Amino acid sequence: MKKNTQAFADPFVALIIFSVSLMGSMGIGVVWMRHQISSTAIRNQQLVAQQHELERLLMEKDAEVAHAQRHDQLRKLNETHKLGMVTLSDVPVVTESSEAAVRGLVQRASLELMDRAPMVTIKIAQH
Amino acid sequence: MSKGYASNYRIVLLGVALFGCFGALGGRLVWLHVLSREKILEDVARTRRQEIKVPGKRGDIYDARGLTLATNRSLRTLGVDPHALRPQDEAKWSELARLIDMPESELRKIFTTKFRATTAPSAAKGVASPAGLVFNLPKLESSPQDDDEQPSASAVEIARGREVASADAPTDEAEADPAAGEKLRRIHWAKLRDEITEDLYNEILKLGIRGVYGNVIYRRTYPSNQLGAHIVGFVNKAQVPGAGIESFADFYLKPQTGWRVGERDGRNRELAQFRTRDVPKIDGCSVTLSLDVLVQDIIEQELGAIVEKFHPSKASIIVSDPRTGFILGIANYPSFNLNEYNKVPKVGRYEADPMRNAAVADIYEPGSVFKIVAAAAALEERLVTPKHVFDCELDAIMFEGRKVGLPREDHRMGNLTVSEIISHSSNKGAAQLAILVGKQKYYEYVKAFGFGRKLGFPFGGEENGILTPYTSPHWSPKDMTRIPMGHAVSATVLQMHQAMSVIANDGVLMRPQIISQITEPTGEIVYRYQPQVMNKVVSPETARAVAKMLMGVASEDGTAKEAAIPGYDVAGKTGTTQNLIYSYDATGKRRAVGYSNKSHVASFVGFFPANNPQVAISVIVDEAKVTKAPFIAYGRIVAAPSFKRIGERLIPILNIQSSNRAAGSGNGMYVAQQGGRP
Repeated sequence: MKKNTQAFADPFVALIIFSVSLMGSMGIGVVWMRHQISSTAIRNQQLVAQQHELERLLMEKDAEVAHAQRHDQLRKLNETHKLGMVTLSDVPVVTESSEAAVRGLVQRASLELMDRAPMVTIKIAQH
Repeated sequence: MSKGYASNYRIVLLGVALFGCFGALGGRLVWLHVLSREKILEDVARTRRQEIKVPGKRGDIYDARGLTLATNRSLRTLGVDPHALRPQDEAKWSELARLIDMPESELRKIFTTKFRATTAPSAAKGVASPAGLVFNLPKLESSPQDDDEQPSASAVEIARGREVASADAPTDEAEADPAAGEKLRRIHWAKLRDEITEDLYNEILKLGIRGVYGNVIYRRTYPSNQLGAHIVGFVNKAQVPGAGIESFADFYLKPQTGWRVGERDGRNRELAQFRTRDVPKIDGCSVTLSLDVLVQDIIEQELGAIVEKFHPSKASIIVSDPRTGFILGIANYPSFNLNEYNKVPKVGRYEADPMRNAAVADIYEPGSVFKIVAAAAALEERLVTPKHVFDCELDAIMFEGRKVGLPREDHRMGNLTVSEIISHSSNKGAAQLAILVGKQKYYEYVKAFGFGRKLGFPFGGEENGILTPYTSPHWSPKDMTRIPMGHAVSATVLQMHQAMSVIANDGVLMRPQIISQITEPTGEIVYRYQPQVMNKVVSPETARAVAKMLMGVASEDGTAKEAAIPGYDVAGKTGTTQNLIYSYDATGKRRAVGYSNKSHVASFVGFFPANNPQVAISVIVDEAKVTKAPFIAYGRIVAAPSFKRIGERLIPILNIQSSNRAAGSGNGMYVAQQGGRP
């Protein structure tokens, strides 16, 4: 059988080159993929670490705020800076039921009106 | 033959060379993967395997208003890797010593000590399993904070964007010292100072000394210091809860440490892509108490005032909502600072221990406050009405066919109604009421009021108290005349408080509770505590009748007008009990030998408003020193004024409404019932 001398390339060599290229590409692809996985995992780890750090700092600030709100500390600051703030119990508070309060308000409002109103004499008809 | 082709000889040579190379490669692979497999896997497992613990956060403790009573803060344990130090940083060592308050000579010694002699065989340390995936779980369960005493980089290093939490990570490497001929270990971490704050750590970092770094540790902190110390409790440095809620609710507060298994590189950095196990941490639940910080602050201030004025050996104040049994505040003197629990001095066997919750763990003779039991029992049994009259000048009475002496009174009482027996605090009258009820029934009522048994307060070492059953051989007929006046019986402050709350709560005994709810870190409520009824003691009618009698105590004619709060009906009872005198034997054990005429327990237990009770308050002061006449620590002198002051301060804070409107002085600020405070 006569060999085809007009062929562009030896099919066997071409197959070898193609196979090597394909395998090489696959290899590089796998390496790239693994690199991407590693990079993503490391980035993820860094983000988690940052999140933990932020949580830690938040916790720290919360603790500082709670310490700053201590009652004896607030009293001391009040005295030191002469803020003159009084505790709630120092305000003379007299509680009233809503009904009595409303009645009181109406009476007070009515009183002013009555003061300005002319005298009215009510006559009851007698049979 | 074309000249352009190479000879067969050369092609064969090239093929042989290639085959040889591949053969060598294959041989090496066989060597590594088959022949030396076990040994190499062992090396890899030892050097690259890494177990990282991720500590969770212990849950916080909040008061009823959401203010923080216990939380966590992160501190640093500062250490140094002596091998990483650079000569050019040596000039900064003195500054570092100053910052961490350490003598420079000591710092230099730590910095220059790079090896440590060891006697243990190096193989004993950290030999991992060949498989590399056999986990040592018991080790992982231990808290990471436990490692702070170890000179290893075992705590979690988060600040640098990495977590180096391997408890098993070797920090030292064994080396043979040729000169000495003995094994030495490289020191990779030597502790410089514990518990460095973030600000100080930042200053240290600014120095830029390579090799000096801090590991993060978490510590419990109590923002309010001593406030509610006996309730909140504490956690020690080893993260072991010591007392209070910290101990009782540890199951909920405790976090679950997360962990992951993976590999690390040569610089001890985790290779995140090679993780084989990853168990996330779970933060602890937070616990919300019924305790109100504002109330607690008020009663602790009042305790401070009592201590300053009367110098007692101990004192307790309890404030609660009698309708639910939820405690709003418990304060004891002496107390301690939760952040300095380790500085509390040790006390003698019979001395007041600052760390003991005396309100639940100590017992005392309640005295006249106990008379409410006899009165309530007699009324409930329909044996008397509030207007029945008793001769309160009798010296003795017949009981079970025997003549039994009645207790003495402070002054002549004459004939008194049942109401007056309470308002004038007649010992003889109370004894006659109890005798009328009968020993069995009376004992059952005393028990039903919560005496002689635990009330189920969850922590603090609650005591039963002492109540001798009438069936006991130790019981004597005389007890029937002494128990009604609060002698020959012992109770905790909490028991007496709850007994008074029975009167305030329409005759129902509630379980004293302190936790209101438990919440997940996500905000989801795990458990909400509801009021718990222990038992019904007397009918609401009887309870109201006794409450009405108790209103007489704080009236102008009563024994404690000092407790009266203008504008509010106060129901309460004073108590003054003589303390026991003890003799001590050679072993230091004590024995009661009699009652003291100088040392008293003064108390006032009550609630208000009397016809719609919203708050119950108990003030008990032991061994108060009264320097003015009558020189006796009566309840009305020592405890009743405190009751009044506390009550007045609680009114605006708890928005307590009065149904008695005689108070409007005109100078006050009027607050509408539904409108809230201005």
